[in-house]
Parts: sequence; C-alpha cells; structure tokens
Amino acid sequence: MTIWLFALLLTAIACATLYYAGAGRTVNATAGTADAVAEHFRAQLRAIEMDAAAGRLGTIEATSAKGELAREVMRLKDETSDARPVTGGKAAIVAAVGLVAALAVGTYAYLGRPDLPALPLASRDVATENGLDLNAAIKTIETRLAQTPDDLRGWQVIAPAYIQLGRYTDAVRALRRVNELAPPTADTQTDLGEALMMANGGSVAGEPLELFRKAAVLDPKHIRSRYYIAGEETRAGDYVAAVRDWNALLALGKGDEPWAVTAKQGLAFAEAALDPGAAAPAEPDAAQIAAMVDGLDARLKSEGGSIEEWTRLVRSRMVEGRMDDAQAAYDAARKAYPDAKLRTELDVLAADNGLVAK
Amino acid sequence: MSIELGHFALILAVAIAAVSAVAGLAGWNRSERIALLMRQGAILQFLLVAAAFGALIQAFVTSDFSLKLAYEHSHSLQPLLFKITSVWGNHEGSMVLWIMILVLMGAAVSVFGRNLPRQLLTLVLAMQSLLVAAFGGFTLFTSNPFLRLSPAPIEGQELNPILQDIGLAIHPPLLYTGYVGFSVCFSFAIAALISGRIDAAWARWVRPWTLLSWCFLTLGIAMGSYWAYYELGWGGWWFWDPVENASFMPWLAGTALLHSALVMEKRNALKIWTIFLAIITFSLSLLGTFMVRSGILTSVHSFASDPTRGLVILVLLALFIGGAFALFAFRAPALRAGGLFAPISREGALILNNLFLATAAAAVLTGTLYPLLLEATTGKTISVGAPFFSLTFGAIMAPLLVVLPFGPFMAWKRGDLIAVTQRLAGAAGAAVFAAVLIVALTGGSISLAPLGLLLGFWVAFGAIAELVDRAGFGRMGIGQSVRRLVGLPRTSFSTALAHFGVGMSVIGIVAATAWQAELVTTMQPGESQTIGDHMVTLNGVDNLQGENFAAETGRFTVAGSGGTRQMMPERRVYEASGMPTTEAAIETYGFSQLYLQLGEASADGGRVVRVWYKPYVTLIWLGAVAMALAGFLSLTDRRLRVGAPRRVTAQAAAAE
Repeated sequence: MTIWLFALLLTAIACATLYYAGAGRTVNATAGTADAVAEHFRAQLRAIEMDAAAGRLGTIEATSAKGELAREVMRLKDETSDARPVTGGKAAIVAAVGLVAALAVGTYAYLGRPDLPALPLASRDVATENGLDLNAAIKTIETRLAQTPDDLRGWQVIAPAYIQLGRYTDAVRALRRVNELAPPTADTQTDLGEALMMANGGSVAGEPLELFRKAAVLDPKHIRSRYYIAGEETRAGDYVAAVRDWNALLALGKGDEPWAVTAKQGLAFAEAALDPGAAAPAEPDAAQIAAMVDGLDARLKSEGGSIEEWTRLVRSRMVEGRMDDAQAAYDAARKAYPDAKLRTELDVLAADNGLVAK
Repeated sequence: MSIELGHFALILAVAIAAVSAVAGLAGWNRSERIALLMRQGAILQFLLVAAAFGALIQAFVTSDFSLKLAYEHSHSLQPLLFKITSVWGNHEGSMVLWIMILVLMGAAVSVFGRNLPRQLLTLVLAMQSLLVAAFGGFTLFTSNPFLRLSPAPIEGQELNPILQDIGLAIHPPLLYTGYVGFSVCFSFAIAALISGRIDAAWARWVRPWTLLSWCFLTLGIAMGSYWAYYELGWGGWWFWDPVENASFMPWLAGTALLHSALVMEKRNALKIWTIFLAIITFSLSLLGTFMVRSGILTSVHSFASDPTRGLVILVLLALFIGGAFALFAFRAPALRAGGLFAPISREGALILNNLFLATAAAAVLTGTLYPLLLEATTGKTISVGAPFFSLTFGAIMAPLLVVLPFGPFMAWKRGDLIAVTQRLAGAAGAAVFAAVLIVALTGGSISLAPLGLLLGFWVAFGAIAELVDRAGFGRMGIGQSVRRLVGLPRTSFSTALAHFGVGMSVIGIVAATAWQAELVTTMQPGESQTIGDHMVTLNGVDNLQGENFAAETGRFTVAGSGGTRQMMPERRVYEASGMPTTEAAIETYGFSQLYLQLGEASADGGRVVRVWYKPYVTLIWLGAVAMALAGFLSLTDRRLRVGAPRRVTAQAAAAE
C-alpha cells in the first residue's frame, strides 16, 4: 500500500503546482501579440542599422530594407486587432486539475500492479528460490499422493525430484510403488536399481544388481542395466563374464555413444586382467585411470549424473593434479545442482582444495 | 516499488498531457490562465516521464526480471552499458525514449517561450500535449513497458546481440531527437493554421528548432549508417532499407524546411510553403518512427509487432497527418503570403532547391511504399531495391548539385545569373582540374565516376568560393579581405561549411563506390594475400571468452603504405541466445579504410576471409558531421538578420 501513498503524494504535488500556476496568482498580462510583433520589428530594424554601420550593407540597400520593414509593420498593424483575452476561468482550472488526478489514479488502478515489489537480482537468493520451487512442487505432489496412493503418474513424477534433491530413500520408496502399480519394465526396474545404488552410496552389489539382471531379462537390448551389470562384474573381478557382457553391450551400440568410452575401457581392463601373457596389472595403471576419469567427465557433461559422481570426478581431477579441469567440473556440478544443501560434501572438498565457487 | 512508481509517473504525465491538450485547444483564445497552466503542465510532463524512464533504467541495471521488459530484453551478464541501452533496444522502451524527447521539447518551448504571444504558446503546447497524450496512451494501452511478471524469472533473455554495441547508445537518441524536434515546427505550423495568423515570432522560432532537429537527425542517420557499416559485416553503408528510407525522407524534407525557414526569417517570404514543409517533415518523421512498428514493413529494424498495435498506429498516423493536411487545405488560403521576389534571386534559388529535395523525398517515398500498395491491391509482391533508388535519386540530386553553388551567390529579391556565373568560374575550373587530376593519377576509365567526382569538387569548391567572394579576395587588398572574412557573420561560415560537407559526402560516395577493391578468399594460418598495396597475413585464430559471449578472434597483420598494423576481426556466439555475430576489423588510412571480416572455417582448416579496401569512404560520414557542425554553428548566431535586397528597382517596388 506504500505505493498508493507515494502515488497519491505525487498526484497531489503535481496538481498543486498546476493549480498554483494557473489560478493561484494574478496573470501577468505582458507578451500580448502586438507587443511581440513590435519587439520583433524593432529587433529587425536594429539588425539593419548594425549591418549598415559595420559596412556590410550599403546605404541604398539599408534604406530599401528599412522601407520594406516599414510597409510590413503597417500591414500587420491593420491586421492585428489585439483584443486582450479575458483572464477568468478559475473554474476551468479547477476542473482540469481534478480531471488530471482522476485520470491518473483511475488508469493506474486499471493498469498497475501495486501488489508487486521490485526484485533486483542482487537482493534475491537464487539458489534458495530454485530449491524452494522444487520443494514446494514436491510438497504439492506428496499431499496429493497421500490421498490417492495409487496415482502412478504422481509417483513417476516425484521420483526424479527426490533424486535431484538427494532424497534417495524416498526415491526408492516412490519407485517401488511405480513397480507395484504397473507391470515392471526394464526401465522401471533399472530406475529402482539406480536409486537403491545411490542410497547405498554407489554400491551395485545386492538388490540393485538383481534388479539390473531382471531388467536385462525383460529387455535383452536394455543398455543402461547391462552397463551396470558389466561394470559390477568388472569391479567384482569376474573378468570372464565382464568381457562377455562388455562385448555384448558394445555390440548394441554404434560405438560413438557417450557410454561407449567407459565400456571400451572396462573391456580393455577386463581383457588385460584375463590375459596371463600380458603384464596384467592387478591395479589399473595411471593411463587407464586417466582414461576412465576422462570417460566419466565426458559422460557427466553430456548426460549429467548424480552429485556423488560429480564429487568423484572433481576429486579424481584433483588427485591427477589437473586443477583447471577440477574447477571446470566443479562449475558444471554447481550448475547441475544449484541447491547448496545437496552439495555439502562437494563444496567442502572444493573449499579445502582452493576451488572457487563462481 | 520504484517500477510501479515509474509506471504511475508515466500515467500521470499522459493524464496531464491529455487534459492540457483539451484545455489548450478549447480555451486558447478564452483565458490567459490556460497558457500558464499549460506551461507548468509541459514541465511536469517532462519531469514525470524522465522519472519513469529512470525507473526503467534502474530496473534494467539491477536486473529486476519482475519487469517483463527486462526479462525479455536483458540478461544479468550483459555489461552495464548494454543493460542501460537494452531499455530502448525494443519497441516498448523505445516508445518511452521517444515520448521523453517529445516532452523535453515541450518543456523547452515552455521555458524558452516565456515571451511568445500567449495564444501562440497555448496552441503550440496544446499540440505537443496532444502528441504526448496520443502516443503516450498508445504506449500505455498497447505497448506498456511496465508490465510485470509474477513469479519473477531468475534470469532474463538477452538483448539481440547485434544491438549489443555502443551504436545503440548513440544512434536512437540522436535520431529520435531529430525526429521529435520537428514536432515543435509541426506544432507551430498547426498553431498558425488554427489561429489563422503567422506571427512574426513564428518566423524567429521555426529556424532554430528546425536547425537543431536537422543537426541531430543528420548525426543520427550518419551514425546509423556507420553502425550498419561496421556491424552488419559486409561493408555496405547504405542499403535503401525501408527504415533507412524512413529516416532519410524527413531529412530531405527537413533540409527543404531549413532553407525555407531561412527565407522566412530573413525575408518574411515563403510562409505558407514553410508551414507546408513543417507539416510534411514531421509527418514523415512519424511515418519513419512508426511505419516499422505497424507490421506493414519488415526490415532489420522491425520489432515484434501485433495486429492491434499496427491498427492503432495506422489510425493515429492517419489522424495526425490527415488532420494536419486537412487543416492546411482549409486554412492556408486565408494566410497572407508575404514578400515578393523575382524568379532569379536567392529566394528563387531556395525554392528550386526545395522542389528538388521534395521531389527526391517523394521518389524515396514511392519506392518504399509502392511495393506495399501493389501487394495490398493486386497481391503481387515485388521488391524495389537499390538500383531503383540509385537511379531515380541520383537523377534528381545531380542537377541539384549542379545548381547548388549558385544559390548562396544570388542576391535577395533579384539576382544576376550571369554575374554569379562569372564569379563561380574559378571554382568550376578548380573542380575540373581536381577531378581530371585524380582520375588521371588513379588511371580510372571513362565512366560516371569521374563526373560524380567532378560534381563533388564543384560543390565543395563552390562553397569555399562564396566565402572568398564575400570577403572580397582579389578585389581588394589581402589585409582588408582577411578583416572582412573574419567579420563575416557566422551564418555565412555555416552555409559554406554545410555545402562543403555535401561535397565531401558526394566525393566519398563516388570514390568508395567506384574504386573499392574486394577480396574474398580462404586463408591458411601464415598465408598472405594482397589487396591494393596492402598485404594481409593471417597469423592465427584464437578462442577468447568475453563477458557474455565466446569469440573466435583472427589475428591479422596488414603491411602497406600506412605501416604495419594488427587487425583482429571476431566471430562471436552469445551465450544466452546462442546467436552468432561478426565483428569486422577496420583500419583507417587517411580517409580510406581497410575492412576485414573473419568468415567460417573451411574444410581444410583454413578460414574464409573477406577484405575490402574502401578509398575515401570516411568522407561520407565526415561530410555529414560537417553539415551537422555547420548547423550548430548557425545556431550559435542568434542575432536577427535581415536579408536586405541588393538593388530595388522602381518596378519591383511598384509590384508590392
């Protein structure tokens, strides 16, 4: 309402000055038409005389110019009947001033948005606003789901939101509901497996792996689940199965997909571990680590990923000593996860190692 | 809250304007109180619109995206200058700028017009207020810049990258000051028609306002042309684009008005003609500002338009322009015409000049509107391009340039053509000599170009000859001539400078068009190419990060007569919109320029590079700047001057 206060104050000042100018003082009745005309011709006469005196104008020319001027003055005197206008009309002034106020206030009431405050960017907490929006949306859906727990669509929508906010247990609960309410598909099983994996701190062993295997049975060409299976086999040291599954996975793609880089690295690692002839490293060597980190980097930048994966990438970059890349990864992670609450671990890691939060 | 207060201020200003217009038109011959009310109202309008404009700027600078306009046309990463210029880099904001200049003019009339006859002042301010009310109302109800968004977005879209340039800070304000300045002449003309009297004060007022507006319009057009030249990336400086034409027509009409107002001030003649030109000039200014926004014309200047807006604009234009001409048709015969003169005289020369300029404006208008009319009536689409304009416009301007130097030599009222021709012989000889010399030295072939060059030199030397003649060099001693030269009124110098500027522009246009060299090629890093006597070497291409764009910068070395210089043309991609722009690199050698544009990468790792050498191209704009400076110089000479007739015969006196 302060805006109305200021608006009315502004109107009052404007109207007061208008009224004062028009009606509040006696009219100074100079500058009538005849006066102005006479003044103009006097100035012209002076100009001619000055030019003549300065030698810019000959005597004959000056005389004839003055003659022209005199004839002009005579003619205008005949034409100008300088009836001085009346000086009444105070009522008209009052009416005009009142009309201004009414017009302005009425138009603003129609067009304006007095309820909206100004919102300069500097005064806004961008991170919180983004987070609040998401939280508010989740609240709304949760309320609805509490009333209609069989709403498949609702669970489908809320699950990724939970994941984005790092609420993996809730995400697992939601995705279990999705799998109960509709016949499980390779995708829904894999989604659940991923959520469980994140809830377990990235470990695939156990239920997630079972889910991925089920998904792979449901759809033998399902890439995401087979990727996790092969990865887990590699990690667990089951290199025979790993080589078989990596090859099968690579056969599904054209080879230029973002995941193909990691798959090829995994395959190479498993093959090397299998081949007793080669100097099979029990641990991946530096070049391989670098390749795997690069693969992770490429995948996160193109497909995105969990905040844990981003944190892993940033940490790996710092271990490699590539601080610029670490900074770039950190920037990208901040962009992908604007909500500071989710990034606690990453932010601490970054701050400890001198990365800048831009 | 500042945004809403700004909104309210704009509304209050429009309300004051609406009431002032009605009060002034209804009561101009009833009460002197009305005049006082309106003078105060004009000043209030200015203060309030300035406040509204300030509120918009503040919202843009602080990236307040709760303002829809800021969200749509600004971005938090833009540099400060471009945040400010974003305010008028769009339809709604530019309307506010337009109105702000309009109310500034109104306030200036109010302040400086203290001594004007009250009735005249009332009518003039009423017309100004009517314009503010009409176009302010249009802004508020169809293009409101103060619309809000709730919830407010976190980030804005971006100002069109082509507009992210210092040019946007200069070009529109100059151009609008020119356009809108003519509104004062228009209002004076309408006031004269309504009151049925052309006051003597009228004559004194119209010339300075015309001059001021004309100077700004000249600079605005020149700046726009130079901006297009360096930003659009293909080295052209005039495109006969409908919007360029729209700014050029009021300039032509305004130039005619300027000369006509001169006659009126000095000789009390050509009054009705001046009124007519004042109406035409401002009508063309209105067309220039609004034709692009009505959606009937499309060009690089088009802002997003919607049908309601277009319709309202057309109605407003029809009312103001049609109303003014109707008023002229009814009332002009009642006005007294003023002084007489012989056909061969300074007055006659100025009329001839005006006819040429008016015809040129009509030709441009025809070329701009004809395709629209044809499409509207027959459905056929044609495009009228540069060849039409160059031919018709050139054909009209060439004879004008031929006779131009004669004008200032003529005596008022009754001139002697033969005597003038004799006095111009020196200038003509010098012009022929210079043109022939240059063509011979550059080895030019026989074509129109040497003739064009001759014309340019003729106009330029003719302008100087006038000063030489008036000072009496050759007829009296050197010392006395110099004293006379120094003693000449400033308006003589401004006439000479303005006409000299015309000559400069003509020379620049002819030289840059006829003798430009162009090279389009693919270059590998380290490779060199030769254009004229300049050797261009591509050293490499770097990737740079700007504040809100990523750029590829070509590093070139240019070796030649002007020494070795570095040139860095860029290709930019703006982050928010993903829009690419090219930034040409320009090196100036004397009056000539080397123009370098970095193209796309070719398959073999090279770069497409476009190079132009444009001889004397800067003269085009320097000539315009000289004209504008001449205008300002003339403005400083506020002494009233009477054009005295040189010889009055008994016959001429009897004719009056």
